[in-house]
Amino acid sequence: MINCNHVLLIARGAVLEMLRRKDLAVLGLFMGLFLLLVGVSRFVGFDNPATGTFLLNLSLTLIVGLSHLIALTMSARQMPDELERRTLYPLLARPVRRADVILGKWSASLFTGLVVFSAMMFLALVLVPKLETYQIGTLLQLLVLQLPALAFTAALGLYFSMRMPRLLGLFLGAILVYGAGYVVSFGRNFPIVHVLPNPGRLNLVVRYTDGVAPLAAGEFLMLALYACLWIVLLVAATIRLFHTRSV
Amino acid sequence: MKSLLFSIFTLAVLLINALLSMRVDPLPYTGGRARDEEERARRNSSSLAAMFGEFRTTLSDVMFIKTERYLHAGVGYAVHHTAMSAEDLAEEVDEHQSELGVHDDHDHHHHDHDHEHIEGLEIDHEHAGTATLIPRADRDFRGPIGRLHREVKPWRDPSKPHAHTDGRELLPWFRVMTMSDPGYIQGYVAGGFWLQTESLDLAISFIEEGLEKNPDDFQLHVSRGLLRVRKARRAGDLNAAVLEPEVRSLLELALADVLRAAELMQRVRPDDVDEDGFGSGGWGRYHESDAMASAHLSVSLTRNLGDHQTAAELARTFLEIFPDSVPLQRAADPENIHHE
Repeated sequence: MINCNHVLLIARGAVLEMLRRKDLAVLGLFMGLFLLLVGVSRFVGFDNPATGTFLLNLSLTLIVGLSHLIALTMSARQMPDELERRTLYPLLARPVRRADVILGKWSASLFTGLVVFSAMMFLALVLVPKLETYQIGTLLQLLVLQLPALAFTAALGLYFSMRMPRLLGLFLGAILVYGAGYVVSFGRNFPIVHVLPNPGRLNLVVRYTDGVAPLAAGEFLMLALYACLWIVLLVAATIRLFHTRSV
Repeated sequence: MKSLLFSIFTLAVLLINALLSMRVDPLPYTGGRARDEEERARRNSSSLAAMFGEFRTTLSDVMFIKTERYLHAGVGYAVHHTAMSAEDLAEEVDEHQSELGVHDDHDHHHHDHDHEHIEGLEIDHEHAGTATLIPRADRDFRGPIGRLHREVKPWRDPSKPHAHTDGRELLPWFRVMTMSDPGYIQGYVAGGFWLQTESLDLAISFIEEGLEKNPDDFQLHVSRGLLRVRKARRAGDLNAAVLEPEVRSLLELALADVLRAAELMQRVRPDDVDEDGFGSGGWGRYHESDAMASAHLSVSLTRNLGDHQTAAELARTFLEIFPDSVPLQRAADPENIHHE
Protein backbone atom coordinates (compact mmCIF):
# COMPACT_ATOMS: atom_id res chain seq x y z
CA MET A 1 0.00 0.00 0.00
CA ILE A 2 1.32 3.46 -0.89
CA ASN A 3 2.08 5.67 2.10
CA CYS A 4 1.13 9.21 1.09
CA ASN A 5 3.13 10.79 3.92
CA HIS A 6 6.29 9.04 2.75
CA VAL A 7 5.64 10.08 -0.84
CA LEU A 8 5.13 13.70 0.17
CA LEU A 9 8.25 13.72 2.36
CA ILE A 10 10.39 12.30 -0.43
CA ALA A 11 8.92 14.76 -2.91
CA ARG A 12 9.61 17.63 -0.52
CA GLY A 13 13.18 16.46 -0.12
CA ALA A 14 13.65 16.34 -3.90
CA VAL A 15 12.27 19.85 -4.31
CA LEU A 16 14.48 21.17 -1.50
CA GLU A 17 17.46 19.53 -3.16
CA MET A 18 16.56 21.30 -6.37
CA LEU A 19 16.44 24.62 -4.53
CA ARG A 20 19.76 23.84 -2.86
CA ARG A 21 21.38 23.19 -6.21
CA LYS A 22 20.43 26.73 -7.26
CA ASP A 23 18.26 25.41 -10.07
CA LEU A 24 15.92 28.22 -9.15
CA ALA A 25 18.53 30.71 -10.39
CA VAL A 26 18.49 29.01 -13.80
CA LEU A 27 14.71 29.19 -13.80
CA GLY A 28 14.90 32.85 -12.86
CA LEU A 29 17.27 33.41 -15.77
CA PHE A 30 14.84 31.79 -18.20
CA MET A 31 11.99 33.85 -16.81
CA GLY A 32 14.10 36.97 -17.15
CA LEU A 33 14.83 36.10 -20.80
CA PHE A 34 11.16 35.52 -21.39
CA LEU A 35 10.26 38.87 -19.84
CA LEU A 36 12.95 40.49 -21.96
CA LEU A 37 11.43 38.92 -25.08
CA VAL A 38 7.98 40.21 -24.20
CA GLY A 39 9.37 43.60 -23.17
CA VAL A 40 11.35 44.02 -26.42
CA SER A 41 8.30 42.98 -28.42
CA ARG A 42 6.10 45.50 -26.66
CA PHE A 43 8.76 48.16 -27.16
CA VAL A 44 9.11 47.37 -30.88
CA GLY A 45 5.33 47.34 -31.11
CA PHE A 46 2.88 45.18 -32.99
CA ASP A 47 2.49 46.11 -36.63
CA ASN A 48 -0.76 44.17 -36.83
CA PRO A 49 -2.88 41.75 -34.76
CA ALA A 50 -1.27 38.77 -36.50
CA THR A 51 2.06 39.77 -34.95
CA GLY A 52 0.45 39.62 -31.51
CA THR A 53 -0.66 36.08 -32.26
CA PHE A 54 2.84 35.26 -33.46
CA LEU A 55 4.30 36.43 -30.13
CA LEU A 56 1.61 34.59 -28.16
CA ASN A 57 2.40 31.39 -30.04
CA LEU A 58 6.12 31.87 -29.56
CA SER A 59 5.70 32.55 -25.83
CA LEU A 60 3.39 29.61 -25.13
CA THR A 61 5.56 27.26 -27.19
CA LEU A 62 8.64 28.33 -25.19
CA ILE A 63 6.78 27.94 -21.90
CA VAL A 64 5.51 24.45 -22.68
CA GLY A 65 8.92 23.44 -24.02
CA LEU A 66 10.78 24.82 -21.00
CA SER A 67 8.46 23.33 -18.37
CA HIS A 68 8.77 19.90 -20.01
CA LEU A 69 12.54 20.31 -20.13
CA ILE A 70 12.59 21.09 -16.40
CA ALA A 71 10.35 18.11 -15.58
CA LEU A 72 12.45 15.83 -17.77
CA THR A 73 15.88 16.91 -16.50
CA MET A 74 14.76 16.82 -12.90
CA SER A 75 13.18 13.36 -13.16
CA ALA A 76 16.12 11.99 -15.15
CA ARG A 77 18.65 12.88 -12.48
CA GLN A 78 16.70 11.92 -9.35
CA MET A 79 17.66 8.26 -9.03
CA PRO A 80 21.18 8.43 -10.57
CA ASP A 81 22.06 11.32 -8.20
CA GLU A 82 20.79 9.42 -5.16
CA LEU A 83 22.74 6.33 -6.19
CA GLU A 84 25.89 8.32 -6.95
CA ARG A 85 25.83 10.17 -3.64
CA ARG A 86 24.77 6.99 -1.81
CA THR A 87 21.98 8.91 -0.08
CA LEU A 88 19.48 6.29 -1.18
CA TYR A 89 20.77 3.70 1.27
CA PRO A 90 19.87 5.55 4.49
CA LEU A 91 16.46 6.25 2.95
CA LEU A 92 15.85 2.60 2.12
CA ALA A 93 17.06 1.59 5.60
CA ARG A 94 13.92 3.24 6.95
CA PRO A 95 10.49 1.68 6.67
CA VAL A 96 9.92 3.21 3.25
CA ARG A 97 8.64 1.19 0.31
CA ARG A 98 10.50 1.44 -2.96
CA ALA A 99 7.28 2.43 -4.68
CA ASP A 100 7.02 5.41 -2.30
CA VAL A 101 10.50 6.55 -3.34
CA ILE A 102 9.66 6.41 -7.05
CA LEU A 103 6.31 8.10 -6.55
CA GLY A 104 7.93 10.79 -4.43
CA LYS A 105 10.59 11.53 -7.03
CA TRP A 106 8.02 11.53 -9.81
CA SER A 107 5.71 13.88 -7.86
CA ALA A 108 8.58 16.28 -7.20
CA SER A 109 9.48 16.42 -10.91
CA LEU A 110 5.84 16.94 -11.84
CA PHE A 111 5.43 19.63 -9.18
CA THR A 112 8.51 21.53 -10.38
CA GLY A 113 7.38 21.38 -14.00
CA LEU A 114 3.93 22.57 -13.00
CA VAL A 115 5.28 25.49 -10.96
CA VAL A 116 7.41 26.65 -13.91
CA PHE A 117 4.51 26.20 -16.32
CA SER A 118 2.00 28.00 -14.09
CA ALA A 119 4.27 30.93 -13.25
CA MET A 120 5.35 31.58 -16.82
CA MET A 121 1.91 30.93 -18.25
CA PHE A 122 0.45 33.48 -15.84
CA LEU A 123 3.00 36.05 -17.00
CA ALA A 124 2.37 35.25 -20.65
CA LEU A 125 -1.39 35.47 -20.37
CA VAL A 126 -1.14 38.77 -18.51
CA LEU A 127 1.67 40.44 -20.50
CA VAL A 128 1.26 39.25 -24.07
CA PRO A 129 -1.54 41.23 -25.71
CA LYS A 130 -4.26 39.15 -27.32
CA LEU A 131 -5.09 41.10 -30.44
CA GLU A 132 -7.17 38.47 -32.22
CA THR A 133 -9.99 36.21 -31.13
CA TYR A 134 -9.07 33.02 -29.31
CA GLN A 135 -11.25 30.27 -27.95
CA ILE A 136 -11.34 30.28 -24.15
CA GLY A 137 -12.41 26.62 -24.18
CA THR A 138 -9.26 25.69 -26.10
CA LEU A 139 -7.16 27.63 -23.57
CA LEU A 140 -8.77 25.75 -20.69
CA GLN A 141 -8.13 22.43 -22.42
CA LEU A 142 -4.53 23.48 -23.08
CA LEU A 143 -4.01 24.31 -19.40
CA VAL A 144 -5.73 21.18 -18.07
CA LEU A 145 -3.90 18.83 -20.46
CA GLN A 146 -0.52 20.14 -19.41
CA LEU A 147 -0.96 18.43 -16.02
CA PRO A 148 -1.01 14.88 -17.48
CA ALA A 149 1.50 15.96 -20.14
CA LEU A 150 4.06 17.04 -17.52
CA ALA A 151 3.33 13.93 -15.45
CA PHE A 152 3.92 11.88 -18.60
CA THR A 153 7.26 13.59 -19.26
CA ALA A 154 8.36 13.17 -15.64
CA ALA A 155 7.47 9.45 -15.76
CA LEU A 156 9.40 9.07 -19.01
CA GLY A 157 12.52 10.72 -17.55
CA LEU A 158 12.37 8.59 -14.41
CA TYR A 159 11.89 5.37 -16.38
CA PHE A 160 14.82 6.05 -18.72
CA SER A 161 17.05 7.02 -15.78
CA MET A 162 16.49 3.54 -14.32
CA ARG A 163 17.05 1.82 -17.64
CA MET A 164 20.20 3.45 -18.98
CA PRO A 165 22.97 5.95 -18.18
CA ARG A 166 21.65 9.35 -17.20
CA LEU A 167 22.76 11.31 -20.26
CA LEU A 168 21.54 8.72 -22.71
CA GLY A 169 18.22 8.54 -20.87
CA LEU A 170 17.90 12.29 -20.93
CA PHE A 171 18.70 12.36 -24.63
CA LEU A 172 16.17 9.67 -25.47
CA GLY A 173 13.55 11.31 -23.27
CA ALA A 174 14.11 14.67 -25.00
CA ILE A 175 13.81 13.03 -28.42
CA LEU A 176 10.47 11.54 -27.43
CA VAL A 177 9.12 14.65 -25.71
CA TYR A 178 10.08 17.03 -28.53
CA GLY A 179 10.37 14.77 -31.54
CA ALA A 180 7.88 11.92 -31.25
CA GLY A 181 5.21 14.08 -32.89
CA TYR A 182 7.35 14.49 -36.00
CA VAL A 183 8.13 10.77 -36.13
CA VAL A 184 4.42 9.97 -35.90
CA SER A 185 3.67 12.56 -38.61
CA PHE A 186 6.26 11.10 -40.97
CA GLY A 187 5.20 7.54 -40.37
CA ARG A 188 1.48 7.96 -39.83
CA ASN A 189 0.84 5.20 -42.35
CA PHE A 190 2.85 2.75 -40.24
CA PRO A 191 0.85 1.75 -37.14
CA ILE A 192 4.04 0.84 -35.27
CA VAL A 193 5.00 4.52 -34.78
CA HIS A 194 1.84 5.07 -32.76
CA VAL A 195 3.34 2.89 -30.02
CA LEU A 196 5.88 5.64 -29.29
CA PRO A 197 5.17 7.57 -26.10
CA ASN A 198 4.36 11.08 -27.28
CA PRO A 199 3.71 13.70 -24.57
CA GLY A 200 3.71 16.40 -27.27
CA ARG A 201 0.35 15.08 -28.45
CA LEU A 202 -1.23 16.87 -25.49
CA ASN A 203 0.14 20.25 -26.55
CA LEU A 204 -2.72 22.45 -27.78
CA VAL A 205 -0.74 25.71 -28.12
CA VAL A 206 -0.95 25.90 -31.93
CA ARG A 207 -4.62 25.01 -31.81
CA TYR A 208 -5.24 27.81 -29.31
CA THR A 209 -3.23 30.52 -31.08
CA ASP A 210 -4.79 29.49 -34.38
CA GLY A 211 -8.20 30.40 -32.95
CA VAL A 212 -9.52 26.87 -33.44
CA ALA A 213 -12.48 25.55 -31.43
CA PRO A 214 -11.90 23.27 -28.41
CA LEU A 215 -11.68 19.53 -28.85
CA ALA A 216 -14.90 17.57 -28.54
CA ALA A 217 -15.42 16.14 -25.05
CA GLY A 218 -14.77 12.61 -26.29
CA GLU A 219 -11.48 13.57 -27.95
CA PHE A 220 -10.37 15.50 -24.89
CA LEU A 221 -11.09 12.55 -22.60
CA MET A 222 -9.33 10.15 -24.95
CA LEU A 223 -6.24 12.37 -24.91
CA ALA A 224 -6.32 12.46 -21.11
CA LEU A 225 -6.77 8.67 -21.03
CA TYR A 226 -3.85 8.27 -23.44
CA ALA A 227 -1.58 10.22 -21.07
CA CYS A 228 -2.88 8.49 -17.93
CA LEU A 229 -2.29 5.02 -19.35
CA TRP A 230 1.28 5.92 -20.29
CA ILE A 231 1.90 7.43 -16.85
CA VAL A 232 0.60 4.32 -15.07
CA LEU A 233 2.65 2.03 -17.30
CA LEU A 234 5.88 4.03 -17.00
CA VAL A 235 5.64 4.55 -13.24
CA ALA A 236 4.74 0.88 -12.68
CA ALA A 237 7.64 -0.20 -14.91
CA THR A 238 10.03 2.11 -13.00
CA ILE A 239 8.88 0.68 -9.67
CA ARG A 240 9.41 -2.86 -10.99
CA LEU A 241 12.89 -1.95 -12.22
CA PHE A 242 13.75 -0.44 -8.86
CA HIS A 243 12.54 -3.60 -7.11
CA THR A 244 14.75 -5.80 -9.25
CA ARG A 245 17.81 -3.61 -8.70
CA SER A 246 20.24 -4.71 -6.05
CA VAL A 247 20.38 -1.45 -4.15
CA MET B 1 3.16 -14.97 -12.36
CA LYS B 2 3.64 -11.28 -11.52
CA SER B 3 5.93 -10.89 -14.50
CA LEU B 4 3.38 -12.48 -16.80
CA LEU B 5 0.62 -10.22 -15.51
CA PHE B 6 2.82 -7.16 -15.92
CA SER B 7 3.71 -8.18 -19.48
CA ILE B 8 0.02 -8.60 -20.33
CA PHE B 9 -0.71 -5.20 -18.75
CA THR B 10 2.13 -3.60 -20.74
CA LEU B 11 0.93 -5.10 -24.01
CA ALA B 12 -2.64 -4.03 -23.31
CA VAL B 13 -1.59 -0.44 -22.55
CA LEU B 14 0.61 -0.27 -25.67
CA LEU B 15 -2.22 -1.56 -27.82
CA ILE B 16 -4.85 0.76 -26.36
CA ASN B 17 -2.52 3.74 -26.60
CA ALA B 18 -1.59 2.96 -30.20
CA LEU B 19 -5.30 2.85 -31.03
CA LEU B 20 -5.92 6.10 -29.15
CA SER B 21 -2.94 7.69 -30.88
CA MET B 22 -4.30 6.73 -34.30
CA ARG B 23 -7.77 7.95 -33.40
CA VAL B 24 -7.08 11.24 -31.62
CA ASP B 25 -4.72 13.88 -32.89
CA PRO B 26 -5.53 17.46 -31.94
CA LEU B 27 -3.42 19.03 -34.68
CA PRO B 28 -4.86 18.13 -38.10
CA TYR B 29 -7.77 20.56 -37.86
CA THR B 30 -9.32 22.49 -40.70
CA GLY B 31 -9.16 26.28 -40.83
CA GLY B 32 -7.06 28.21 -38.34
CA ARG B 33 -4.85 31.24 -38.80
CA ALA B 34 -1.62 29.35 -39.52
CA ARG B 35 -3.11 28.02 -42.75
CA ASP B 36 -4.48 31.40 -43.79
CA GLU B 37 -2.26 32.85 -46.54
CA GLU B 38 -3.31 36.45 -45.95
CA GLU B 39 -2.75 36.11 -42.22
CA ARG B 40 0.68 34.62 -42.80
CA ALA B 41 1.57 37.40 -45.21
CA ARG B 42 0.54 40.00 -42.62
CA ARG B 43 2.52 38.27 -39.88
CA ASN B 44 5.57 37.81 -42.10
CA SER B 45 5.61 41.48 -43.00
CA SER B 46 5.95 42.58 -39.37
CA SER B 47 9.27 43.59 -37.87
CA LEU B 48 8.72 41.16 -35.00
CA ALA B 49 8.34 38.23 -37.37
CA ALA B 50 11.55 39.31 -39.08
CA MET B 51 13.31 39.37 -35.69
CA PHE B 52 12.04 36.00 -34.61
CA GLY B 53 11.44 34.65 -38.08
CA GLU B 54 13.45 31.52 -37.44
CA PHE B 55 11.22 30.47 -34.55
CA ARG B 56 8.53 29.03 -36.77
CA THR B 57 6.20 26.65 -35.07
CA THR B 58 5.86 23.96 -37.65
CA LEU B 59 8.48 21.81 -39.23
CA SER B 60 7.07 22.55 -42.68
CA ASP B 61 7.56 26.27 -42.16
CA VAL B 62 11.11 25.78 -40.93
CA MET B 63 11.88 23.69 -43.97
CA PHE B 64 10.24 26.21 -46.26
CA ILE B 65 12.50 28.92 -44.80
CA LYS B 66 15.50 26.65 -45.27
CA THR B 67 14.59 25.92 -48.87
CA GLU B 68 14.15 29.62 -49.53
CA ARG B 69 17.57 30.28 -47.98
CA TYR B 70 19.05 27.63 -50.24
CA LEU B 71 17.36 29.08 -53.31
CA HIS B 72 19.03 32.40 -52.50
CA ALA B 73 22.47 30.75 -52.51
CA GLY B 74 22.60 30.69 -48.71
CA VAL B 75 21.91 34.40 -48.27
CA GLY B 76 19.30 35.08 -45.59
CA TYR B 77 16.86 37.76 -46.72
CA ALA B 78 14.28 39.42 -44.50
CA VAL B 79 10.94 37.64 -44.75
CA HIS B 80 9.47 38.86 -48.02
CA HIS B 81 7.56 36.02 -49.50
CA THR B 82 4.23 34.37 -49.15
CA ALA B 83 5.20 31.56 -51.50
CA MET B 84 8.07 30.93 -53.81
CA SER B 85 6.30 28.18 -55.61
CA ALA B 86 3.17 29.97 -56.69
CA GLU B 87 5.19 32.71 -58.31
CA ASP B 88 7.06 30.12 -60.33
CA LEU B 89 3.88 28.29 -61.09
CA ALA B 90 2.32 31.52 -62.33
CA GLU B 91 5.20 31.86 -64.78
CA GLU B 92 4.53 28.34 -65.89
CA VAL B 93 0.88 29.19 -66.31
CA ASP B 94 1.71 32.19 -68.46
CA GLU B 95 4.12 30.16 -70.51
CA HIS B 96 1.49 27.55 -71.21
CA GLN B 97 -1.14 30.14 -71.86
CA SER B 98 1.13 31.68 -74.47
CA GLU B 99 1.71 28.29 -75.98
CA LEU B 100 -1.99 27.72 -76.12
CA GLY B 101 -2.68 31.08 -77.67
CA VAL B 102 -4.06 32.77 -74.56
CA HIS B 103 -2.31 36.00 -73.62
CA ASP B 104 -2.97 37.12 -70.11
CA ASP B 105 -3.35 40.79 -69.31
CA HIS B 106 -0.96 40.30 -66.40
CA ASP B 107 1.67 38.68 -68.61
CA HIS B 108 3.86 41.73 -68.34
CA HIS B 109 4.27 41.17 -64.62
CA HIS B 110 5.95 37.85 -65.08
CA HIS B 111 7.64 38.47 -68.39
CA ASP B 112 9.29 41.56 -67.00
CA HIS B 113 11.49 39.21 -65.01
CA ASP B 114 15.00 40.06 -65.99
CA HIS B 115 17.02 36.89 -65.47
CA GLU B 116 20.61 36.15 -66.42
CA HIS B 117 22.90 33.26 -65.54
CA ILE B 118 26.31 33.70 -63.93
CA GLU B 119 28.41 30.77 -62.65
CA GLY B 120 25.43 28.46 -62.50
CA LEU B 121 23.31 30.90 -60.51
CA GLU B 122 20.24 32.59 -61.90
CA ILE B 123 20.42 36.31 -61.20
CA ASP B 124 17.00 37.77 -60.51
CA HIS B 125 16.98 41.53 -60.99
CA GLU B 126 13.32 41.91 -60.11
CA HIS B 127 13.76 41.11 -56.43
CA ALA B 128 16.73 43.39 -55.85
CA GLY B 129 16.31 45.65 -52.84
CA THR B 130 14.93 43.17 -50.27
CA ALA B 131 16.85 43.59 -47.00
CA THR B 132 19.21 40.83 -45.92
CA LEU B 133 19.13 39.46 -42.36
CA ILE B 134 22.80 40.47 -41.97
CA PRO B 135 22.69 44.25 -42.57
CA ARG B 136 24.78 46.29 -44.98
CA ALA B 137 27.97 47.92 -43.63
CA ASP B 138 26.42 51.38 -43.53
CA ARG B 139 23.52 50.09 -41.46
CA ASP B 140 25.49 47.79 -39.16
CA PHE B 141 26.51 49.27 -35.83
CA ARG B 142 28.76 46.29 -35.06
CA GLY B 143 31.72 47.58 -37.07
CA PRO B 144 34.48 44.95 -37.46
CA ILE B 145 32.23 42.21 -36.02
CA GLY B 146 29.62 42.97 -38.65
CA ARG B 147 32.32 42.93 -41.34
CA LEU B 148 33.50 39.54 -40.10
CA HIS B 149 29.88 38.30 -40.07
CA ARG B 150 29.45 39.31 -43.70
CA GLU B 151 32.72 37.64 -44.62
CA VAL B 152 32.13 34.28 -42.96
CA LYS B 153 28.41 33.86 -43.72
CA PRO B 154 26.82 33.81 -47.19
CA TRP B 155 25.93 37.43 -47.83
CA ARG B 156 25.07 39.56 -50.83
CA ASP B 157 24.55 43.28 -51.04
CA PRO B 158 20.75 43.65 -50.82
CA SER B 159 20.78 46.38 -53.47
CA LYS B 160 22.13 43.81 -55.94
CA PRO B 161 19.87 41.29 -57.68
CA HIS B 162 19.18 38.00 -55.89
CA ALA B 163 21.18 34.94 -56.93
CA HIS B 164 19.03 31.83 -57.28
CA THR B 165 20.33 28.26 -57.16
CA ASP B 166 18.83 25.23 -58.86
CA GLY B 167 15.92 24.00 -56.74
CA ARG B 168 16.22 20.37 -57.81
CA GLU B 169 18.54 19.62 -54.91
CA LEU B 170 15.71 20.61 -52.59
CA LEU B 171 13.38 17.87 -53.75
CA PRO B 172 13.94 15.66 -50.68
CA TRP B 173 13.03 18.62 -48.47
CA PHE B 174 9.73 19.16 -50.25
CA ARG B 175 9.11 15.45 -49.71
CA VAL B 176 9.77 15.76 -45.96
CA MET B 177 7.60 18.91 -45.83
CA THR B 178 4.61 17.10 -47.24
CA MET B 179 5.24 14.04 -45.10
CA SER B 180 5.23 16.11 -41.94
CA ASP B 181 2.13 18.03 -43.01
CA PRO B 182 0.08 16.40 -45.79
CA GLY B 183 -2.10 19.52 -45.92
CA TYR B 184 0.86 21.74 -46.88
CA ILE B 185 -0.23 22.58 -50.44
CA GLN B 186 2.75 24.86 -51.12
CA GLY B 187 5.07 21.94 -50.53
CA TYR B 188 3.30 19.83 -53.15
CA VAL B 189 3.08 22.66 -55.68
CA ALA B 190 6.69 23.78 -55.28
CA GLY B 191 7.97 20.19 -55.12
CA GLY B 192 5.98 19.27 -58.24
CA PHE B 193 7.36 22.32 -60.02
CA TRP B 194 10.98 21.33 -59.40
CA LEU B 195 10.33 17.64 -59.88
CA GLN B 196 9.11 18.22 -63.44
CA THR B 197 12.63 19.25 -64.40
CA GLU B 198 13.67 15.67 -63.55
CA SER B 199 10.63 13.73 -64.65
CA LEU B 200 7.14 14.86 -65.58
CA ASP B 201 5.65 11.51 -64.56
CA LEU B 202 7.24 11.74 -61.11
CA ALA B 203 5.97 15.30 -60.75
CA ILE B 204 2.46 14.20 -61.68
CA SER B 205 2.53 11.32 -59.20
CA PHE B 206 3.78 13.71 -56.48
CA ILE B 207 0.88 16.07 -57.18
CA GLU B 208 -1.48 13.07 -57.24
CA GLU B 209 -0.25 12.11 -53.80
CA GLY B 210 -1.23 15.60 -52.69
CA LEU B 211 -4.61 15.19 -54.37
CA GLU B 212 -5.22 11.95 -52.50
CA LYS B 213 -4.86 13.84 -49.24
CA ASN B 214 -6.42 17.10 -50.43
CA PRO B 215 -8.91 16.08 -53.13
CA ASP B 216 -10.74 19.41 -53.05
CA ASP B 217 -7.76 21.70 -53.40
CA PHE B 218 -8.11 23.47 -56.72
CA GLN B 219 -4.44 24.52 -56.92
CA LEU B 220 -3.33 20.90 -57.02
CA HIS B 221 -5.76 20.20 -59.88
CA VAL B 222 -4.33 23.21 -61.75
CA SER B 223 -0.81 21.89 -61.13
CA ARG B 224 -1.63 18.46 -62.52
CA GLY B 225 -3.36 20.04 -65.51
CA LEU B 226 -0.29 22.15 -66.25
CA LEU B 227 2.01 19.18 -65.97
CA ARG B 228 -0.17 17.20 -68.39
CA VAL B 229 -0.13 20.10 -70.84
CA ARG B 230 3.64 20.13 -70.68
CA LYS B 231 3.69 16.39 -71.24
CA ALA B 232 1.40 16.83 -74.24
CA ARG B 233 3.69 19.53 -75.61
CA ARG B 234 6.59 17.11 -75.47
CA ALA B 235 4.50 14.47 -77.23
CA GLY B 236 3.60 16.64 -80.20
CA ASP B 237 2.30 19.93 -81.61
CA LEU B 238 -0.57 21.32 -79.56
CA ASN B 239 -1.68 23.66 -82.33
CA ALA B 240 -1.77 21.08 -85.09
CA ALA B 241 -4.95 20.99 -87.15
CA VAL B 242 -5.34 17.31 -86.31
CA LEU B 243 -3.93 16.42 -82.89
CA GLU B 244 -1.98 13.20 -82.48
CA PRO B 245 -3.91 10.62 -80.39
CA GLU B 246 -1.47 10.81 -77.46
CA VAL B 247 -1.53 14.60 -77.44
CA ARG B 248 -5.31 14.64 -77.64
CA SER B 249 -5.62 12.15 -74.80
CA LEU B 250 -3.27 14.17 -72.58
CA LEU B 251 -5.03 17.42 -73.39
CA GLU B 252 -8.38 15.82 -72.54
CA LEU B 253 -6.99 14.74 -69.18
CA ALA B 254 -5.55 18.20 -68.60
CA LEU B 255 -8.88 19.76 -69.53
CA ALA B 256 -10.66 17.53 -67.00
CA ASP B 257 -8.16 18.73 -64.38
CA VAL B 258 -8.56 22.43 -65.05
CA LEU B 259 -12.36 22.17 -65.37
CA ARG B 260 -12.45 20.43 -61.99
CA ALA B 261 -10.08 23.10 -60.64
CA ALA B 262 -12.34 25.84 -61.97
CA GLU B 263 -15.38 24.20 -60.41
CA LEU B 264 -13.65 23.88 -57.01
CA MET B 265 -12.23 27.38 -57.32
CA GLN B 266 -15.71 28.89 -57.76
CA ARG B 267 -16.79 27.23 -54.52
CA VAL B 268 -13.99 28.75 -52.45
CA ARG B 269 -13.18 32.06 -54.17
CA PRO B 270 -14.58 34.93 -52.09
CA ASP B 271 -16.59 37.74 -53.71
CA ASP B 272 -14.43 40.52 -52.27
CA VAL B 273 -11.15 39.88 -54.11
CA ASP B 274 -9.34 43.21 -54.59
CA GLU B 275 -7.22 44.27 -57.53
CA ASP B 276 -4.09 42.83 -55.88
CA GLY B 277 -5.72 39.41 -55.70
CA PHE B 278 -6.39 39.39 -51.95
CA GLY B 279 -9.77 38.49 -50.52
CA SER B 280 -11.39 37.32 -47.32
CA GLY B 281 -10.97 33.84 -45.87
CA GLY B 282 -7.24 33.69 -46.59
CA TRP B 283 -7.51 34.21 -50.36
CA GLY B 284 -4.13 35.44 -51.61
CA ARG B 285 -2.53 36.60 -54.83
CA TYR B 286 -1.39 33.07 -55.60
CA HIS B 287 -4.86 31.65 -55.21
CA GLU B 288 -6.11 34.31 -57.59
CA SER B 289 -3.35 33.58 -60.08
CA ASP B 290 -4.20 29.87 -60.04
CA ALA B 291 -7.92 30.63 -60.20
CA MET B 292 -7.38 32.67 -63.37
CA ALA B 293 -5.14 29.93 -64.74
CA SER B 294 -7.91 27.37 -64.24
CA ALA B 295 -10.36 29.60 -66.14
CA HIS B 296 -7.96 30.53 -68.95
CA LEU B 297 -6.74 26.98 -69.44
CA SER B 298 -10.28 25.60 -69.42
CA VAL B 299 -11.11 27.89 -72.32
CA SER B 300 -7.89 27.45 -74.25
CA LEU B 301 -7.75 23.67 -73.90
CA THR B 302 -11.37 23.33 -74.97
CA ARG B 303 -10.49 25.39 -78.04
CA ASN B 304 -7.37 23.37 -78.72
CA LEU B 305 -9.50 20.26 -78.69
CA GLY B 306 -11.59 21.83 -81.44
CA ASP B 307 -14.74 22.79 -79.56
CA HIS B 308 -14.78 26.55 -80.20
CA GLN B 309 -18.43 27.01 -79.33
CA THR B 310 -18.06 25.48 -75.85
CA ALA B 311 -14.84 27.46 -75.34
CA ALA B 312 -16.72 30.70 -76.00
CA GLU B 313 -19.51 29.66 -73.62
CA LEU B 314 -16.95 28.83 -70.94
CA ALA B 315 -15.24 32.17 -71.49
CA ARG B 316 -18.57 33.96 -71.03
CA THR B 317 -19.18 32.03 -67.80
CA PHE B 318 -15.74 32.84 -66.43
CA LEU B 319 -16.07 36.49 -67.42
CA GLU B 320 -18.66 36.77 -64.65
CA ILE B 321 -15.85 35.96 -62.22
CA PHE B 322 -12.99 37.74 -64.00
CA PRO B 323 -14.68 40.56 -65.93
CA ASP B 324 -11.37 42.35 -66.66
CA SER B 325 -9.65 39.37 -68.21
CA VAL B 326 -8.67 40.32 -71.76
CA PRO B 327 -8.06 36.70 -72.90
CA LEU B 328 -11.52 35.70 -71.73
CA GLN B 329 -13.10 38.73 -73.39
CA ARG B 330 -11.33 37.80 -76.62
CA ALA B 331 -12.34 34.16 -76.35
CA ALA B 332 -15.96 35.10 -75.63
CA ASP B 333 -16.19 37.40 -78.64
CA PRO B 334 -18.30 35.60 -81.32
CA GLU B 335 -16.16 37.11 -84.07
CA ASN B 336 -13.04 35.42 -82.70
CA ILE B 337 -14.65 31.99 -82.60
CA HIS B 338 -14.57 31.61 -86.36
CA HIS B 339 -11.22 33.30 -86.78
CA GLU B 340 -9.42 30.70 -84.68
